[in-house]
Amino acid sequence: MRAQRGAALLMITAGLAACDGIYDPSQPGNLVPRTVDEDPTLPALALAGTVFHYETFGDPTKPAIIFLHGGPGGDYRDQLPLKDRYDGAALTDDHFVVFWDQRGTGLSRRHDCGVFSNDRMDADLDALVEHVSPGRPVFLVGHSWGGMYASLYINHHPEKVAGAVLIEPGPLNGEMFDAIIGELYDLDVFSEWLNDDVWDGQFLTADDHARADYHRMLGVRDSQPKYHQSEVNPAPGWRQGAVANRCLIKSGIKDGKAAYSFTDHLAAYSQRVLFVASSKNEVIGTAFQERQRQFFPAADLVTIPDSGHDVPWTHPAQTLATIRAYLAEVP
Amino acid sequence: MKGLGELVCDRLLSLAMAIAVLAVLLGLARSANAQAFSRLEAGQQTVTAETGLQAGFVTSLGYAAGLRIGAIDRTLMPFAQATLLVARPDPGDYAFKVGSQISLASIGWFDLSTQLAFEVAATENSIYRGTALRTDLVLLAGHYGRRWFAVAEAGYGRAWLTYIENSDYYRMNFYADARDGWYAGTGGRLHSGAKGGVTLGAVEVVLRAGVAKTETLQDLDLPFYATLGANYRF
Repeated sequence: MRAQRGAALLMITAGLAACDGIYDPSQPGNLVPRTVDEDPTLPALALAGTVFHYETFGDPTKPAIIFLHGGPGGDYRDQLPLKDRYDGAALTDDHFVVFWDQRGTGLSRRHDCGVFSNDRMDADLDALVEHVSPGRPVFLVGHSWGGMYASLYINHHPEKVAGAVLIEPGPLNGEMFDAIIGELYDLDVFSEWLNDDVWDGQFLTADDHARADYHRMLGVRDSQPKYHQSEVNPAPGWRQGAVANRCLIKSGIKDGKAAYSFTDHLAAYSQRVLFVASSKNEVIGTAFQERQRQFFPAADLVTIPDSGHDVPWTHPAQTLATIRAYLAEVP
Repeated sequence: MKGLGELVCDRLLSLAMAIAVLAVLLGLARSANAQAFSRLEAGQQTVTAETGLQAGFVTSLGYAAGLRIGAIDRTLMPFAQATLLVARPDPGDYAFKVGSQISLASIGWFDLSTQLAFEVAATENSIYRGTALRTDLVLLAGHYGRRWFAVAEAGYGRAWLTYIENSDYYRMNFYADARDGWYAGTGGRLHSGAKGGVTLGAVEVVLRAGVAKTETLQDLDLPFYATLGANYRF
């Protein structure tokens, strides 16, 4: 392969290569998949001034469960196993199940930096809740950032949430963030992933969405070893929304400090909430979630044995059984 | 709250500062007693070694010579440099450049030079294996003295063509239809900074440091560079 590449290189430098077969890195579909704007066959929902990649399963007259994926900037691909049937039971037996890629992420429409804020995310989810379940509270199931997102929403709209499952959510406020900031990423200057990431700046620079999204993939596998995500069965995704990730995080910073809080009004939320933790995560695992559940007046914590942060993907049957047991007890 | 890019910067900045302190100590340790040869005279040759943070933790080895070009009354300084990403030695991450430096104008103590290099760079990471054909154009403005030199530098590097071979990991877990092949204009970097050095016998110690952005002024994950080099003249 290297010999072939070298030969091709010589041909091009000699001016023999035609433009055919030379790709544009900014063109969706080349390095990263097309979004709902470029692929009309994708299931989509136009709402709140954007277009979301969106799928539903089950009877829409039943109580709705809205899934919130991780990130910010991830997508719902790794949550899809939770719609499947395990041991004869599925969420769709009793609920209307909604998956969506959040604003600017996955296969949803891209947006530039200025639109991303926690207020915008709150408005997006509120519009979705009103769309799928007008006048009827929904259940939220959020993983990682999705658990934070669920808390953000409950903090503002407790009356619209019948219950929530927060699967290993990230820090729910700035104080909790500060407690773990040093543990979030492997920042050893000699680590291979970190050097690969910055070395990539010689090849691809984040001067447009597609290149930024592709570059962002570099850290997905190896940047958080203390999260103990599966190496043999890695959680899949479609596209990392680099701009959504960077700009939403940036919107939560004031004077260089984490200045967000999704917990101010949680003490008034009367519904029981379920926290799910993985057993292996050294950063935001069981001990961290034990602290976080104190923000809610009524919250339980379940740890899935032998699991890492990607527990919904690697342990779907156990995760689903835990969710179903919770839903069976919530009034 | 800090993003990943800022956290990376904080960690790498401390290493850059350590390199800068080392360079200052080296500079103070001995008195310079020979002409600096960052601008080589005709017939002079040098081998160079450089390490530090520059799109990763890198080490470079190089060679340069001074060639008199009578037709333009200038000394051309062709050079070659090989760079390895050495944080964790990986033969898949390297760069090799050839180029030349030439003085454009000298007015009193002030010199304006330019450097143009052609580079082949390779990378192998979790999502792709790539080979880039790059150019680097740098302007250098400052003073070259007998025992020291100090110049400001500003440059533009661009990957004009990059061969990308998506990894199995990327295809299996993210995008099965990702296209392998040659991509045009995959990246560009602007940088500006300063370079200075002192001569210690036949050895010149050089420190470079500056900041970098993408060609549309977006942030890079490593938005600065800082390297320490040593040149041996013969």
